[in-house]
Amino acid sequence: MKCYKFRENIVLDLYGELDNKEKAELEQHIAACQECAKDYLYSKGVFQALEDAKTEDIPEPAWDSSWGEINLAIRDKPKPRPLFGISPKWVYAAAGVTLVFTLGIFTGRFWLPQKQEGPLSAELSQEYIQRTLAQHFENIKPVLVEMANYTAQENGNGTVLVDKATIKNLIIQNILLKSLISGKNPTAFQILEDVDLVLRELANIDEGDSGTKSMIKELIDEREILVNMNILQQM
Amino acid sequence: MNETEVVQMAQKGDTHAFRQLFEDNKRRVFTLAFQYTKNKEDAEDILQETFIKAFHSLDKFKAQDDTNFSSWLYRIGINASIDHLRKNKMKKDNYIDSDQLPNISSDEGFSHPEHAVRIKEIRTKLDLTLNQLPKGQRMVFILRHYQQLSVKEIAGYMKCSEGSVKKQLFRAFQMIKKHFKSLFPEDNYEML
Repeated sequence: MKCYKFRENIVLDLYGELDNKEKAELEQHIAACQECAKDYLYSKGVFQALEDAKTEDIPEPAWDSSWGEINLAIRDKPKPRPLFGISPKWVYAAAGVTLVFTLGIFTGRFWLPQKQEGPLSAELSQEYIQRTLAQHFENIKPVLVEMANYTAQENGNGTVLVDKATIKNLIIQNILLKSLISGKNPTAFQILEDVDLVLRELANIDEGDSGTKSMIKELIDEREILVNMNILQQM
Repeated sequence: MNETEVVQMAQKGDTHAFRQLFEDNKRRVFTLAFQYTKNKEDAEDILQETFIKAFHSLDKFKAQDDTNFSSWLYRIGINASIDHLRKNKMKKDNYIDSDQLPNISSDEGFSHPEHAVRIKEIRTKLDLTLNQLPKGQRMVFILRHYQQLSVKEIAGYMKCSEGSVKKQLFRAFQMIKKHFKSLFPEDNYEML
Protein backbone atom coordinates (compact mmCIF):
# COMPACT_ATOMS: atom_id res chain seq x y z
CA MET A 1 0.00 0.00 0.00
CA LYS A 2 1.30 3.47 -0.86
CA CYS A 3 1.77 6.32 1.61
CA TYR A 4 -1.20 8.15 0.06
CA LYS A 5 -3.57 5.44 1.24
CA PHE A 6 -2.05 5.52 4.72
CA ARG A 7 -2.49 9.29 4.83
CA GLU A 8 -6.19 8.72 4.23
CA ASN A 9 -6.23 6.05 6.93
CA ILE A 10 -4.59 8.43 9.41
CA VAL A 11 -7.65 10.68 9.15
CA LEU A 12 -10.03 7.73 9.33
CA ASP A 13 -8.18 6.45 12.40
CA LEU A 14 -8.63 9.78 14.17
CA TYR A 15 -12.36 9.48 13.54
CA GLY A 16 -12.39 5.85 14.72
CA GLU A 17 -13.28 4.47 11.30
CA LEU A 18 -10.57 1.81 10.92
CA ASP A 19 -11.04 -1.83 11.78
CA ASN A 20 -8.38 -3.67 13.82
CA LYS A 21 -6.53 -4.98 10.78
CA GLU A 22 -6.34 -1.57 9.10
CA LYS A 23 -5.27 0.02 12.38
CA ALA A 24 -2.48 -2.53 12.84
CA GLU A 25 -1.28 -1.97 9.26
CA LEU A 26 -1.27 1.77 9.82
CA GLU A 27 0.72 1.47 13.05
CA GLN A 28 3.20 -0.81 11.34
CA HIS A 29 3.62 1.66 8.48
CA ILE A 30 3.99 4.65 10.78
CA ALA A 31 6.73 2.84 12.68
CA ALA A 32 8.65 2.41 9.43
CA CYS A 33 7.85 5.66 7.54
CA GLN A 34 9.11 8.90 9.01
CA GLU A 35 7.02 11.15 6.72
CA CYS A 36 3.78 9.38 7.64
CA ALA A 37 4.73 9.41 11.31
CA LYS A 38 5.19 13.16 11.11
CA ASP A 39 1.87 13.55 9.32
CA TYR A 40 0.20 11.36 11.94
CA LEU A 41 1.45 13.54 14.80
CA TYR A 42 0.47 16.75 13.05
CA SER A 43 -2.97 15.42 12.10
CA LYS A 44 -3.51 14.27 15.67
CA GLY A 45 -2.60 17.76 16.93
CA VAL A 46 -5.03 19.47 14.54
CA PHE A 47 -7.73 16.92 15.34
CA GLN A 48 -7.31 17.56 19.07
CA ALA A 49 -7.54 21.32 18.53
CA LEU A 50 -10.75 20.85 16.54
CA GLU A 51 -12.14 18.65 19.30
CA ASP A 52 -11.29 21.26 21.94
CA ALA A 53 -13.07 23.93 19.94
CA LYS A 54 -16.01 21.77 19.02
CA THR A 55 -18.65 22.81 21.52
CA GLU A 56 -20.21 25.88 20.08
CA ASP A 57 -23.25 27.95 20.93
CA ILE A 58 -26.09 27.32 18.56
CA PRO A 59 -28.28 30.41 18.38
CA GLU A 60 -31.93 30.14 19.30
CA PRO A 61 -34.12 30.88 16.30
CA ALA A 62 -37.61 32.31 16.48
CA TRP A 63 -39.35 28.93 16.44
CA ASP A 64 -42.88 30.33 16.40
CA SER A 65 -42.10 32.61 13.52
CA SER A 66 -40.53 29.71 11.61
CA TRP A 67 -43.58 27.55 12.22
CA GLY A 68 -45.77 30.49 11.12
CA GLU A 69 -43.96 30.60 7.76
CA ILE A 70 -44.22 26.85 7.34
CA ASN A 71 -47.88 26.81 8.29
CA LEU A 72 -48.61 29.58 5.81
CA ALA A 73 -46.83 27.72 3.02
CA ILE A 74 -48.50 24.38 3.64
CA ARG A 75 -51.95 25.92 3.98
CA ASP A 76 -51.72 28.18 0.93
CA LYS A 77 -50.30 25.68 -1.49
CA PRO A 78 -51.97 22.31 -1.80
CA LYS A 79 -49.67 19.34 -2.25
CA PRO A 80 -48.69 18.82 -5.91
CA ARG A 81 -50.17 15.52 -7.03
CA PRO A 82 -47.82 13.40 -9.08
CA LEU A 83 -49.19 12.31 -12.45
CA PHE A 84 -49.72 8.52 -12.33
CA GLY A 85 -47.10 8.36 -9.60
CA ILE A 86 -44.45 10.07 -11.75
CA SER A 87 -42.67 13.13 -10.40
CA PRO A 88 -43.72 16.34 -12.26
CA LYS A 89 -40.13 17.14 -13.27
CA TRP A 90 -39.88 13.80 -15.08
CA VAL A 91 -43.18 14.52 -16.81
CA TYR A 92 -41.79 17.86 -18.05
CA ALA A 93 -38.55 16.19 -19.14
CA ALA A 94 -40.43 13.45 -20.99
CA ALA A 95 -42.69 16.05 -22.62
CA GLY A 96 -39.61 18.00 -23.76
CA VAL A 97 -37.96 14.93 -25.25
CA THR A 98 -41.20 13.87 -26.97
CA LEU A 99 -41.49 17.36 -28.47
CA VAL A 100 -37.92 17.21 -29.78
CA PHE A 101 -38.52 13.77 -31.32
CA THR A 102 -41.83 14.84 -32.86
CA LEU A 103 -40.23 17.95 -34.36
CA GLY A 104 -37.39 15.78 -35.64
CA ILE A 105 -39.82 13.39 -37.30
CA PHE A 106 -41.80 16.18 -38.94
CA THR A 107 -38.64 17.98 -40.03
CA GLY A 108 -37.41 14.77 -41.56
CA ARG A 109 -40.73 14.07 -43.24
CA PHE A 110 -41.50 17.44 -44.77
CA TRP A 111 -38.20 19.32 -45.20
CA LEU A 112 -35.50 16.79 -45.90
CA PRO A 113 -35.29 14.78 -49.12
CA GLN A 114 -36.91 11.45 -48.42
CA LYS A 115 -37.52 8.14 -50.04
CA GLN A 116 -41.08 7.23 -50.86
CA GLU A 117 -41.52 5.70 -47.42
CA GLY A 118 -41.08 8.31 -44.65
CA PRO A 119 -40.07 7.65 -41.07
CA LEU A 120 -43.70 7.61 -40.06
CA SER A 121 -44.28 4.44 -41.99
CA ALA A 122 -45.12 1.34 -40.02
CA GLU A 123 -41.45 0.91 -39.15
CA LEU A 124 -38.95 3.78 -38.85
CA SER A 125 -36.35 3.68 -41.61
CA GLN A 126 -32.84 2.54 -40.79
CA GLU A 127 -31.48 5.80 -42.16
CA TYR A 128 -33.67 7.83 -39.84
CA ILE A 129 -32.59 5.80 -36.82
CA GLN A 130 -28.93 6.24 -37.75
CA ARG A 131 -29.40 9.99 -38.06
CA THR A 132 -31.14 10.22 -34.68
CA LEU A 133 -28.48 8.02 -33.11
CA ALA A 134 -25.68 10.20 -34.54
CA GLN A 135 -27.39 13.31 -33.19
CA HIS A 136 -27.78 11.66 -29.77
CA PHE A 137 -24.07 10.76 -29.70
CA GLU A 138 -23.20 14.36 -30.57
CA ASN A 139 -25.33 15.55 -27.63
CA ILE A 140 -23.67 13.15 -25.22
CA LYS A 141 -20.06 13.45 -26.35
CA PRO A 142 -19.26 16.78 -24.61
CA VAL A 143 -20.39 15.30 -21.29
CA LEU A 144 -18.37 12.11 -21.81
CA VAL A 145 -15.28 14.00 -22.98
CA GLU A 146 -15.42 16.23 -19.93
CA MET A 147 -15.71 13.23 -17.62
CA ALA A 148 -13.02 11.30 -19.51
CA ASN A 149 -10.63 14.21 -18.99
CA TYR A 150 -11.45 14.50 -15.31
CA THR A 151 -8.41 14.49 -13.08
CA ALA A 152 -8.83 14.34 -9.32
CA GLN A 153 -6.75 17.10 -7.83
CA GLU A 154 -5.15 16.85 -4.47
CA ASN A 155 -7.27 19.46 -2.77
CA GLY A 156 -10.09 19.98 -5.20
CA ASN A 157 -12.62 18.20 -7.28
CA GLY A 158 -11.60 18.97 -10.80
CA THR A 159 -13.73 21.18 -12.96
CA VAL A 160 -16.53 18.89 -14.04
CA LEU A 161 -19.85 20.69 -14.00
CA VAL A 162 -22.97 18.62 -14.40
CA ASP A 163 -26.38 20.05 -15.16
CA LYS A 164 -28.74 17.48 -13.68
CA ALA A 165 -31.74 18.53 -15.82
CA THR A 166 -29.72 18.02 -19.02
CA ILE A 167 -28.50 14.65 -17.81
CA LYS A 168 -32.04 13.51 -17.07
CA ASN A 169 -33.15 14.56 -20.57
CA LEU A 170 -30.24 12.62 -22.03
CA ILE A 171 -31.21 9.55 -20.00
CA ILE A 172 -34.73 9.67 -21.44
CA GLN A 173 -33.41 10.13 -25.00
CA ASN A 174 -31.07 7.22 -24.40
CA ILE A 175 -33.90 4.97 -23.20
CA LEU A 176 -36.07 5.86 -26.21
CA LEU A 177 -33.21 5.16 -28.61
CA LYS A 178 -32.45 1.86 -26.93
CA SER A 179 -36.02 0.76 -27.49
CA LEU A 180 -35.81 1.90 -31.15
CA ILE A 181 -32.68 -0.04 -32.00
CA SER A 182 -33.21 -3.04 -29.77
CA GLY A 183 -32.61 -6.19 -31.81
CA LYS A 184 -31.57 -4.19 -34.90
CA ASN A 185 -28.12 -2.88 -34.05
CA PRO A 186 -26.39 -4.80 -31.21
CA THR A 187 -23.22 -2.66 -31.35
CA ALA A 188 -25.11 0.60 -30.97
CA PHE A 189 -27.32 -0.97 -28.32
CA GLN A 190 -24.26 -1.93 -26.25
CA ILE A 191 -22.89 1.61 -26.49
CA LEU A 192 -26.24 3.00 -25.33
CA GLU A 193 -26.21 0.53 -22.42
CA ASP A 194 -22.77 1.79 -21.37
CA VAL A 195 -23.86 5.41 -21.81
CA ASP A 196 -26.89 4.65 -19.67
CA LEU A 197 -24.63 3.54 -16.80
CA VAL A 198 -22.56 6.72 -17.03
CA LEU A 199 -25.60 9.00 -17.22
CA ARG A 200 -27.28 7.38 -14.24
CA GLU A 201 -24.13 7.82 -12.13
CA LEU A 202 -23.94 11.45 -13.26
CA ALA A 203 -27.57 12.09 -12.38
CA ASN A 204 -26.90 11.09 -8.78
CA ILE A 205 -23.44 12.58 -8.33
CA ASP A 206 -22.71 15.27 -5.76
CA GLU A 207 -20.56 18.23 -6.63
CA GLY A 208 -17.76 17.25 -4.28
CA ASP A 209 -17.93 13.54 -4.97
CA SER A 210 -14.56 13.07 -6.63
CA GLY A 211 -14.61 9.29 -5.99
CA THR A 212 -17.63 8.76 -8.23
CA LYS A 213 -16.20 11.12 -10.85
CA SER A 214 -13.04 9.01 -11.00
CA MET A 215 -15.16 5.87 -11.24
CA ILE A 216 -17.13 7.35 -14.17
CA LYS A 217 -13.87 8.28 -15.90
CA GLU A 218 -12.67 4.67 -15.49
CA LEU A 219 -15.97 3.36 -16.82
CA ILE A 220 -15.69 5.51 -19.96
CA ASP A 221 -12.07 4.38 -20.48
CA GLU A 222 -12.60 0.69 -19.74
CA ARG A 223 -15.61 0.31 -22.01
CA GLU A 224 -14.04 2.58 -24.64
CA ILE A 225 -17.35 4.35 -25.03
CA LEU A 226 -16.01 7.36 -26.93
CA VAL A 227 -13.88 5.20 -29.23
CA ASN A 228 -16.81 2.89 -29.98
CA MET A 229 -19.05 5.88 -30.69
CA ASN A 230 -16.56 7.26 -33.21
CA ILE A 231 -16.12 3.88 -34.91
CA LEU A 232 -19.88 3.45 -35.22
CA GLN A 233 -20.32 6.95 -36.62
CA GLN A 234 -17.68 6.31 -39.29
CA MET A 235 -19.25 3.05 -40.42
CA MET B 1 -48.89 8.67 20.66
CA ASN B 2 -45.77 7.41 18.93
CA GLU B 3 -44.03 8.97 15.92
CA THR B 4 -45.57 6.55 13.41
CA GLU B 5 -49.07 7.43 14.54
CA VAL B 6 -48.33 11.15 14.42
CA VAL B 7 -46.91 10.76 10.90
CA GLN B 8 -50.00 8.85 9.78
CA MET B 9 -52.22 11.66 11.06
CA ALA B 10 -50.05 14.26 9.32
CA GLN B 11 -50.27 12.25 6.12
CA LYS B 12 -54.05 12.62 6.31
CA GLY B 13 -53.59 16.39 6.36
CA ASP B 14 -53.69 17.03 10.12
CA THR B 15 -51.57 20.17 10.56
CA HIS B 16 -51.57 19.79 14.35
CA ALA B 17 -49.86 16.44 13.92
CA PHE B 18 -47.40 18.03 11.51
CA ARG B 19 -46.74 20.76 14.08
CA GLN B 20 -45.91 18.00 16.56
CA LEU B 21 -43.37 16.57 14.09
CA PHE B 22 -41.92 20.07 13.72
CA GLU B 23 -41.58 20.42 17.48
CA ASP B 24 -39.91 17.03 17.81
CA ASN B 25 -37.36 17.55 15.04
CA LYS B 26 -36.81 21.30 14.65
CA ARG B 27 -33.69 21.56 16.80
CA ARG B 28 -31.79 18.77 15.08
CA VAL B 29 -32.51 20.19 11.62
CA PHE B 30 -31.71 23.77 12.67
CA THR B 31 -28.45 22.74 14.36
CA LEU B 32 -27.27 20.92 11.24
CA ALA B 33 -28.29 23.86 9.02
CA PHE B 34 -26.50 26.35 11.29
CA GLN B 35 -23.35 24.25 11.50
CA TYR B 36 -23.38 24.00 7.72
CA THR B 37 -24.12 27.65 6.89
CA LYS B 38 -22.81 29.41 10.02
CA ASN B 39 -25.61 31.89 9.56
CA LYS B 40 -28.76 32.06 11.66
CA GLU B 41 -31.04 33.50 8.95
CA ASP B 42 -29.89 30.93 6.40
CA ALA B 43 -30.40 28.16 8.93
CA GLU B 44 -33.94 29.41 9.61
CA ASP B 45 -34.64 29.44 5.86
CA ILE B 46 -33.33 25.87 5.57
CA LEU B 47 -35.44 24.79 8.54
CA GLN B 48 -38.54 26.14 6.84
CA GLU B 49 -37.63 24.71 3.42
CA THR B 50 -37.03 21.31 5.00
CA PHE B 51 -40.41 21.11 6.68
CA ILE B 52 -42.29 22.51 3.68
CA LYS B 53 -40.61 19.95 1.39
CA ALA B 54 -41.32 17.22 3.91
CA PHE B 55 -44.99 18.19 4.05
CA HIS B 56 -45.33 18.07 0.27
CA SER B 57 -43.62 14.67 0.15
CA LEU B 58 -45.33 13.15 3.18
CA ASP B 59 -47.37 10.70 1.15
CA LYS B 60 -44.15 9.27 -0.33
CA PHE B 61 -42.80 8.52 3.13
CA LYS B 62 -43.24 4.97 4.33
CA ALA B 63 -41.78 3.95 7.68
CA GLN B 64 -39.45 0.98 7.35
CA ASP B 65 -37.19 -0.88 9.70
CA ASP B 66 -34.19 1.22 8.76
CA THR B 67 -35.92 4.53 8.05
CA ASN B 68 -38.02 6.42 10.54
CA PHE B 69 -39.51 9.85 9.99
CA SER B 70 -36.65 11.66 11.77
CA SER B 71 -34.02 10.04 9.52
CA TRP B 72 -36.09 10.75 6.43
CA LEU B 73 -36.53 14.38 7.49
CA TYR B 74 -32.85 14.69 8.32
CA ARG B 75 -31.98 13.58 4.78
CA ILE B 76 -34.27 16.30 3.41
CA GLY B 77 -32.49 18.75 5.74
CA ILE B 78 -29.08 17.71 4.42
CA ASN B 79 -30.18 18.20 0.82
CA ALA B 80 -31.92 21.48 1.63
CA SER B 81 -28.72 22.77 3.27
CA ILE B 82 -26.58 21.84 0.26
CA ASP B 83 -29.13 23.28 -2.18
CA HIS B 84 -29.49 26.46 -0.17
CA LEU B 85 -25.78 27.10 -0.24
CA ARG B 86 -25.64 26.28 -3.95
CA LYS B 87 -28.43 28.77 -4.68
CA ASN B 88 -26.75 31.42 -2.57
CA LYS B 89 -23.23 30.69 -3.78
CA MET B 90 -22.65 34.10 -5.31
CA LYS B 91 -23.89 35.83 -2.20
CA LYS B 92 -22.00 33.66 0.23
CA ASP B 93 -18.63 33.09 -1.44
CA ASN B 94 -15.78 34.43 0.65
CA TYR B 95 -18.22 35.75 3.17
CA ILE B 96 -18.44 34.94 6.82
CA ASP B 97 -20.62 36.95 9.09
CA SER B 98 -18.27 37.49 12.01
CA ASP B 99 -21.13 38.57 14.29
CA GLN B 100 -22.71 35.19 13.87
CA LEU B 101 -19.66 33.08 14.46
CA PRO B 102 -20.06 30.94 17.53
CA ASN B 103 -19.10 32.69 20.70
CA ILE B 104 -17.02 31.39 23.52
CA SER B 105 -19.29 30.69 26.40
CA SER B 106 -18.75 33.05 29.31
CA ASP B 107 -17.39 30.31 31.59
CA GLU B 108 -14.63 29.39 29.18
CA GLY B 109 -13.57 33.02 28.71
CA PHE B 110 -13.74 33.86 32.40
CA SER B 111 -11.59 31.03 33.70
CA HIS B 112 -8.92 30.91 30.96
CA PRO B 113 -8.94 34.06 28.81
CA GLU B 114 -5.89 33.00 26.72
CA HIS B 115 -7.40 29.61 26.08
CA ALA B 116 -10.67 31.28 25.08
CA VAL B 117 -8.89 33.49 22.56
CA ARG B 118 -7.13 30.46 21.12
CA ILE B 119 -10.40 28.55 20.82
CA LYS B 120 -12.00 31.49 19.06
CA GLU B 121 -9.04 31.65 16.68
CA ILE B 122 -9.44 27.96 15.85
CA ARG B 123 -13.19 28.26 15.29
CA THR B 124 -12.80 31.30 13.04
CA LYS B 125 -10.09 29.56 11.03
CA LEU B 126 -12.18 26.42 10.75
CA ASP B 127 -15.25 28.35 9.61
CA LEU B 128 -13.24 30.18 6.96
CA THR B 129 -11.78 26.88 5.76
CA LEU B 130 -15.15 25.14 5.66
CA ASN B 131 -16.48 28.06 3.63
CA GLN B 132 -13.95 27.23 0.93
CA LEU B 133 -14.64 23.51 0.78
CA PRO B 134 -16.80 21.97 -1.96
CA LYS B 135 -20.33 21.52 -0.63
CA GLY B 136 -20.16 17.72 -0.48
CA GLN B 137 -16.90 17.70 1.49
CA ARG B 138 -18.21 20.38 3.78
CA MET B 139 -21.37 18.40 4.54
CA VAL B 140 -19.43 15.17 5.11
CA PHE B 141 -17.14 16.97 7.57
CA ILE B 142 -20.06 18.57 9.44
CA LEU B 143 -21.91 15.27 9.66
CA ARG B 144 -18.83 13.37 10.90
CA HIS B 145 -17.20 15.97 13.09
CA TYR B 146 -20.14 17.84 14.63
CA GLN B 147 -23.07 15.52 14.21
CA GLN B 148 -20.85 12.50 14.95
CA LEU B 149 -22.46 10.23 12.38
CA SER B 150 -20.47 7.24 11.21
CA VAL B 151 -19.16 7.01 7.66
CA LYS B 152 -21.78 4.33 7.01
CA GLU B 153 -24.60 6.55 8.26
CA ILE B 154 -23.36 9.50 6.20
CA ALA B 155 -23.22 7.31 3.09
CA GLY B 156 -26.82 6.31 3.76
CA TYR B 157 -28.01 9.88 4.20
CA MET B 158 -26.08 11.24 1.23
CA LYS B 159 -26.84 8.25 -1.00
CA CYS B 160 -23.24 7.62 -1.96
CA SER B 161 -20.68 4.91 -1.25
CA GLU B 162 -18.75 4.64 2.02
CA GLY B 163 -15.56 4.94 -0.04
CA SER B 164 -16.73 8.25 -1.41
CA VAL B 165 -17.53 9.54 2.11
CA LYS B 166 -14.07 8.47 3.33
CA LYS B 167 -12.41 10.26 0.42
CA GLN B 168 -14.38 13.43 1.05
CA LEU B 169 -13.64 13.37 4.78
CA PHE B 170 -9.94 12.91 4.02
CA ARG B 171 -9.88 15.77 1.51
CA ALA B 172 -11.75 18.06 3.90
CA PHE B 173 -9.30 17.27 6.70
CA GLN B 174 -6.32 17.80 4.40
CA MET B 175 -7.64 21.24 3.53
CA ILE B 176 -8.15 22.07 7.21
CA LYS B 177 -4.58 20.96 7.99
CA LYS B 178 -3.29 23.15 5.19
CA HIS B 179 -5.14 26.19 6.50
CA PHE B 180 -4.13 25.47 10.09
CA LYS B 181 -0.41 25.63 9.38
CA SER B 182 -0.36 29.28 10.45
CA LEU B 183 -1.93 28.34 13.80
CA PHE B 184 0.01 25.11 14.29
CA PRO B 185 3.43 25.18 12.62
CA GLU B 186 4.30 21.66 11.45
CA ASP B 187 7.78 21.91 13.02
CA ASN B 188 6.19 21.73 16.46
CA TYR B 189 5.09 18.22 15.63
CA GLU B 190 8.41 16.75 14.58
CA MET B 191 9.17 13.28 15.88
CA LEU B 192 11.19 13.32 19.04
